[in-house]
Amino acid sequence: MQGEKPVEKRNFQISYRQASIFLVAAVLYFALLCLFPVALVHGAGTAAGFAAKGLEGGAQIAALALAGLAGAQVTPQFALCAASAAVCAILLTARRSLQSAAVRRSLAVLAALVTIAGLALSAWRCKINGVPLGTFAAILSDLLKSGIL
Amino acid sequence: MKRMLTAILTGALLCGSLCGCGPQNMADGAAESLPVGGKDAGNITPGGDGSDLWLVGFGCAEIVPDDYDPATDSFGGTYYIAGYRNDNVATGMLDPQYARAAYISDKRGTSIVVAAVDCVGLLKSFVDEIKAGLADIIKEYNLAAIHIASTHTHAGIDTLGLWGPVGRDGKNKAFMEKVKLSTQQAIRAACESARDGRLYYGKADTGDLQRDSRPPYIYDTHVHRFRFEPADGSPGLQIISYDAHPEALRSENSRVSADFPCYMSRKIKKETGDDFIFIAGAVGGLISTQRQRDPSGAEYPLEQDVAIVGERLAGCVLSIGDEVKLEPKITDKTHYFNVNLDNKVYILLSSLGVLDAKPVSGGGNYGLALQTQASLLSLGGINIALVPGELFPELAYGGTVGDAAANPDAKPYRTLVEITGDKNLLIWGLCDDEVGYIVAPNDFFLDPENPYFTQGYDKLGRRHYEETNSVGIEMYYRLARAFEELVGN
Repeated sequence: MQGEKPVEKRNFQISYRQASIFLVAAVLYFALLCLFPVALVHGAGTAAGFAAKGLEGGAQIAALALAGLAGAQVTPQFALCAASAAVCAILLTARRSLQSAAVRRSLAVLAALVTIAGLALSAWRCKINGVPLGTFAAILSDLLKSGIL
Repeated sequence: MKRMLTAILTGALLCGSLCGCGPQNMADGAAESLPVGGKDAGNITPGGDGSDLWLVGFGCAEIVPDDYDPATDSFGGTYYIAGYRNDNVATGMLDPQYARAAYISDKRGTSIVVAAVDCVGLLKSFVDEIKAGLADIIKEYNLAAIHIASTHTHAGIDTLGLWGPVGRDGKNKAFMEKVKLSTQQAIRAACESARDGRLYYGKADTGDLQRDSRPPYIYDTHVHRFRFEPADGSPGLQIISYDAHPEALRSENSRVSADFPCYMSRKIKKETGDDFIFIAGAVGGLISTQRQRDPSGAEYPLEQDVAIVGERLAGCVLSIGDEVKLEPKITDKTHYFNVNLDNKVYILLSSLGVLDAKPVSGGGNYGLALQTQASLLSLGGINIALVPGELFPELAYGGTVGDAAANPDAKPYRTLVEITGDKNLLIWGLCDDEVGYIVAPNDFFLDPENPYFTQGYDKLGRRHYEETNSVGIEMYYRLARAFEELVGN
């Protein structure tokens, strides 16, 4: 009986290596998820600025207006980024700890999907100068539909 | 920074000669007359002893871009004239913009500052930035409040960002910094130049000088004045409020100007030696001044018109005879509140960094709100409602468009006069914020297809322009609730 106990304990223990992998992965994912919307919005603004040079009339006016995004204050949803990063980091840590190639593959796919979903959610819920990107996109869409843009 | 300070100091000196509002006018007793709560009471009569003396100071600073060249009447950089059309680049300067401030103490423990900046409007975020740089002054002079209003000149350099090329920020960063520093400088000068004296209130009817472009044709035809008369007999200060957009220069103009307040100031200075602060009243819906005509009926050229309007108004001010002497007592209460932001143009422009209003989570159509404020100030028993935008006068004084109302099913509301129970309530508009027009809910109408983007036309064919420059229908309800809180209802 006494010889079996350490084996049972090991099943529920998180090793130093696993903890390290989790922490590093969580920090990296968190940084990625937070920086992604910033890069996306600023990138869109910069691209609009470049595109404006080759446009004329109303399209150029719209592109120049969108170029303002390049300097916008982008605030990610930190709680959302942290939650997504934690899920991704758990999946990655679990993957590193398992022997089965099939399960590892499944976890890798799952981690990739969670990462993509996290990036998309992070972008959608980020705020551009206090306005959620989703709201901004909805208003732009209204403008396009109404023919104002 | 050094260059900027030098420019500001030079500006302050020029200020007096150009429009007679230099701090030197009040500085005669400044060295001796340090304010209560300051380092030394000097020759100031102690307060709280039944004395009728107030303690008032004035400060003024010019706000002219550093790259303005008076020789060629041109600017080195690009500045946009705010108020009318987009992309109206400033081509010169008719008269300079100023920041003016008054320090007012009842010598019974309450001291405030009231400042007015010659500009189209200042957002709360910017006003808060100005105040943040005055922490030392607030502490040293034990200020209960600092109120910073915009005169709403439609010939000033863009301070909101809305009048650059379409969709782009019309503000100039260096100019905005200058606005901030000049306003702080004026406030500091006001605090440091306080003197004992008496404060009077009076008003005069301005006859047919105003013009209202939207029914109901309700507005206050009076110009209101608080006049400070220093005990030492030196020139004093006049704080004047009036229900009219300073837009006598109209939309054709492209030269920088403070509009008619500049010419009021010059005439009042010339006639009395007094310094001057102009504050716009309830100017929404939409009150401006009539175009002046010569004896043959022909309209005066605009640059002459603005001077005539200013001088006519100054004449009305100077005719005030039945003044009331005010007992030194100040009460000042502010209520902070959120209002749902339904105007999607404002939201879009905030996203693009054109407007510096940072929306917060709220309700309404987009789950967003703006943080703003309202204050109730009493100077010697004269109550003043400080509203954060362009209030439709009927919301202050009463009256509606009746059967012509475009939104007759709107929730009922009380006017500010009804809420405060004071039929002589004064309105100071665009104070501490500029949220745009504060429209009567029962006449609020939006274009059904493109609300806020396109002006609506109601069933009677009336144009509803002001709604496109408002945060939404809820604004007045929130403002009324704020005043209910302030009066304790």
